[in-house]
Parts: sequence; C-alpha cells; structure tokens
Amino acid sequence: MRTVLAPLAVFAVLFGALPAGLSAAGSGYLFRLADVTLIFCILALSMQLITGVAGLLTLGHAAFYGIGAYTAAILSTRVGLDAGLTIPASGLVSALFGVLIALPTMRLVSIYFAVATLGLGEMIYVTLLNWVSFTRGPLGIGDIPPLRPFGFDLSSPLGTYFLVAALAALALVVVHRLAHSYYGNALRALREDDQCAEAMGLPVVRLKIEVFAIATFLAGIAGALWAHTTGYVNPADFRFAESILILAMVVVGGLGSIPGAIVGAALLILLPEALRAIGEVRILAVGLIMFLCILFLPKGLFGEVAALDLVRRQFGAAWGGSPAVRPLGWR
Amino acid sequence: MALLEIDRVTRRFGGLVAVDDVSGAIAEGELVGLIGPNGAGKTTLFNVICGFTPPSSGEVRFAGEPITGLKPWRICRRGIGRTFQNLRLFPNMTVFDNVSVGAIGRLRLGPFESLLRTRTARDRAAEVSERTWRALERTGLAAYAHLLAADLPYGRRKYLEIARALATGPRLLVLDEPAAGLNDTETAELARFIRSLHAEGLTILLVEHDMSLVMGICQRVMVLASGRKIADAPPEVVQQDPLVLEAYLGTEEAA
Repeated sequence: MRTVLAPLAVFAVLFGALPAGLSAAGSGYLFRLADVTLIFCILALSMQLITGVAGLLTLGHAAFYGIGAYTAAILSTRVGLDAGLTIPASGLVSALFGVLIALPTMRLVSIYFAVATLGLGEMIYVTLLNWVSFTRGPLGIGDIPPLRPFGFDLSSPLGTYFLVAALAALALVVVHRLAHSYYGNALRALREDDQCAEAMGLPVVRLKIEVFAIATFLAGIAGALWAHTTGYVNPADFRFAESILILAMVVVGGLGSIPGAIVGAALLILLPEALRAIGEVRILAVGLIMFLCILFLPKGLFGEVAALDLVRRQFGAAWGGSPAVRPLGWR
Repeated sequence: MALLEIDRVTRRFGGLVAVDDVSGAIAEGELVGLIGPNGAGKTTLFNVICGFTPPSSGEVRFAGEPITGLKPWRICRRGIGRTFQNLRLFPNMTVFDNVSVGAIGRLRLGPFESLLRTRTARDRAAEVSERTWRALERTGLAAYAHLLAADLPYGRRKYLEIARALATGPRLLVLDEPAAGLNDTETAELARFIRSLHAEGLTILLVEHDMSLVMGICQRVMVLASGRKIADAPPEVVQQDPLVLEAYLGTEEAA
C-alpha cells in the first residue's frame, strides 16, 4: 500500500494542491519561487545519483547546469529553436560534456576525482565568462523566449509551473527507478568499495561514466528550464558556490535518499527566501544549516551514509584514523 | 584438464621479487591450499590470479584461455569468485543487497533496462533475487537478509563474503585467509562449510596462513617461501618436507 500511496501523494501535491494554492494566492513571485525550487530539486536529485548513490564526490555540478542553460539560451535566441527542442538538446549537450569529462576523470581515485570536477567546473565557468563572442561573457544572454513548446503557450505562470513540475516529476521517476533497482545496488556498491565491486564482476569505470552521463543530462534539463523561465542567463549563476549549494542540499537531505534530495532542495531555496527580512545575513543560513547538520545529523535527514564518512574515505589514509577511532559529531 | 594454470609467473615491485617464477595448476573439482610464511608472496600471487596486479612476466590461464592482464571484473565474469582477507563488505547496504551485487555483475543489468522496466530487466531482476536467496540460504544468512552488513555479527561476516562470491556463479572460488580472526570453534565450522562446498563440486583455492585449516581439509598444498614455490604435494607429504619445515614451520616455532 505504502508504495502506491507515497507517489500518489507526491503527484497530488505537485499537480493539484500546490498549483491550486499558488493560483489562489495569485502571486507571480510565489510561482517563480516554486519553479526555482523544482529546478533545484532536479539538480539535487541528479547530484544525489552521482554523490549519494554512486559515492562520487562531484564539485562541478553547476557547470553542467550552466552548459544546459547556455545551450537553451543560444539555441533559442540565435537559431530560433523551439523550447520543445532546446530542452532535450540542453540535456544531450550537457551529457556529452559529462561523458567527455568522465572518460578521463573516472579513472582517478576518489579525492582526485573531486578535485578534477572542481577544476573542470571552474574551467567551464571561466569559458562562459570569457568567450564573449559566443556567450556574451559577463553581459549574459537576455531575451530568451518563454516556454512555448510546439505551439503550446505555457508562458503563463501556471503553464510554466506545470511544465517545470512535469519535468521535475520525470527526473524524480528516473532517479527513483535507477536508485531503487538492482542497478542502484551496483551503484551503491561503488560508493561502499569500488575495488571490491570490481572484483564482484561490476565494470566500475563504465558504470561511473553511465551514471555521470545520466546525471549531467538531468542537470542540463534543469539549466534549460532556468534559462527559459528566467529569460536571462549569466555566468555568475553557475559558479562554484552554486555547486556547493546543490551539494549542501544533498548533504542536508541525506546521502543516498531521494526524499532527502527534495527536502534539502526545498529547505535551502525556501529558507533564505523566508529570511529575506533579515537582509544579507540570511546567506549565512545556508552555511549554518550545513554545519549544524554535519554536527548533529551526520546522515542528514534521511541519509544512508554519513557525509563526513564519505569525504573521509575520499581522502583515504591521508585523513588518518578509522571512523571507529574518531567518532563523528560532537565530543 | 586444469581449470587454472599458473605458468612461470613472476611479479617484481622495484627491486623486490614478490613472486618468483611460480608455476602450478588446479584441476576441476580440486580443493587446493596455498600457504607460506608472512611475506612469502601469497597475496601477490592471489592478486595476479584475480587481475588486481598484472604479472611482470608469465601467464595465467583459466579454462584454457589466458586471463593475464584482464580487468578484475572480466576475470570474475569468466568464473573466478574471490573473498578478501580483511573483510571488504558494503557496510551501509543490507546483507541481501551485498550478495545481490555478486549476482548483478554476472547478469549485466544496464541503466535503461532498469529505467524502462523492460521484460529483460524484470526477468534478470527475478534471476538476481533467486541467485541471491540461494547464496544466502547456502551460507545460512537468510535470516539476516535485511540487516545492514555493518550490524552483522563478526563470525557471520566471513560467510557474507563467501555468499557474495558464490552469487557471482564461480567455477573457481578463491578464499583469501578466511580463518583470520576466528577462534578454534569458528575455524572448525568454517572448515566443515568449505568442505561441503567442495563436496558439491566447486573448485576451491584456499590461501591461508592457518596451517591447521589447510592441512585438515585440502587435497593438495602448494607452499610459497620468499616468492618461490618450494613444495606442491598432499598435506601429509608437505608436513614431512624438510624444505617446508625449515622455511615455514621452523620459523614459526622459532617465533
């Protein structure tokens, strides 16, 4: 029963209660907030697949989000491509970059992979910033048409919301099915001990490339949605800090947990908004939440593994001491 | 015909010759022990067989085909299942999920099949779960299936390692020091279990430091000392071999 009720409840809220409530409130700001939250849900879900399930600490996720956004922006403003095509195209271009980056880096061991994604993410950001003739550099690209896929006008707040919600629901189904299947077990085995997983017959490098491709595809879709709903993209939206924000969502929600990714995304988007009254200090809230979470909720809200444990394993012997010797949390 | 053939394998680490020109064979259905004092090269030879360390020279053949230089996952899919000396379980996964990983490797489950829940994906999933249950029941772990591996009692963890290796559907099972950390009662229980696996027709190579286990159950014992094979004979012959006594038992008694 539970397995039927939970998805039904999620879909009822997503396509019934939430849009009804937002329409009743009649506020464009709230619709916008819902769209951004859902876009970050897609990002957090895709990072959950890489970091939470497959155990690969990636620090450059925002770059793929950026590639998706710029693909949609450039294809729709310069080529005049329909939004129904720019969205899948953004996913594909982002996944293509994902595979190109994964091919050499997936052979790296743990922490070197994290550092490589950090470096490559920054390279992509710097390229977006400096390739002025193609991306218009720091000016960004404006006048991106709103969502009118294949002649259906979804540019109203409600129409946009429904498209974003539909794609977020799709991402949820994709990540859920992958994570909760035997394929997901194979990915978890990589997270737990990839050398041992290889000895059990799993083609480790191929699995890692596959999962990276799927996750960067989803991040590209999120980027396209951001571009079309905002109407303007700017390199500053895809910096390292954005990768860390997505990582924080996954860590707060709990590594390996799908509800965790959604709750984490909602919390870290909505809370700073709710704290708007206290001014820029609210940015500190993100850091504070992550800090408190690692101290008091080592596994996040619903996680399978403690975040600090995962990071510690990335460092291997360099960290010193086994988790048993150095307990997590408050001492 | 020999199932596993080790043909003049040498492995050097810089100036150190860890395995020095070792040859040997294991026939289908045999239960063979590989022993030697610490630093004799047992683990290196083991890693060469399983593809973790390529040999500097020489060749390893499995079922007549060379497997030298293949990746560990390919060697596993050819039919060599292994366990690890220092227990390498997947601690944050359930006992069932740990064992299922062994079955998944063999059945090649891809992402799109899982995503679209195709007929092949459902069939394979059913097969994974059947193989997993079979391995769990064989090792007496069925009652623990939904426990996290990290919460399993220590003595049972050895069996989880073996269950996971069995789920890969091996023709040759290679056990790396399974008796390490077990008391006498537990070692005796493990010995009975290994012998029962062998009685079912599984070929087993037992790499072990514990002499009593190897001498008690193996049909034949290979002895390594300083990287060289110094004996390859039934246990009662090996126990009388002066070379072995000097290299292995002698040093043990002195220590």
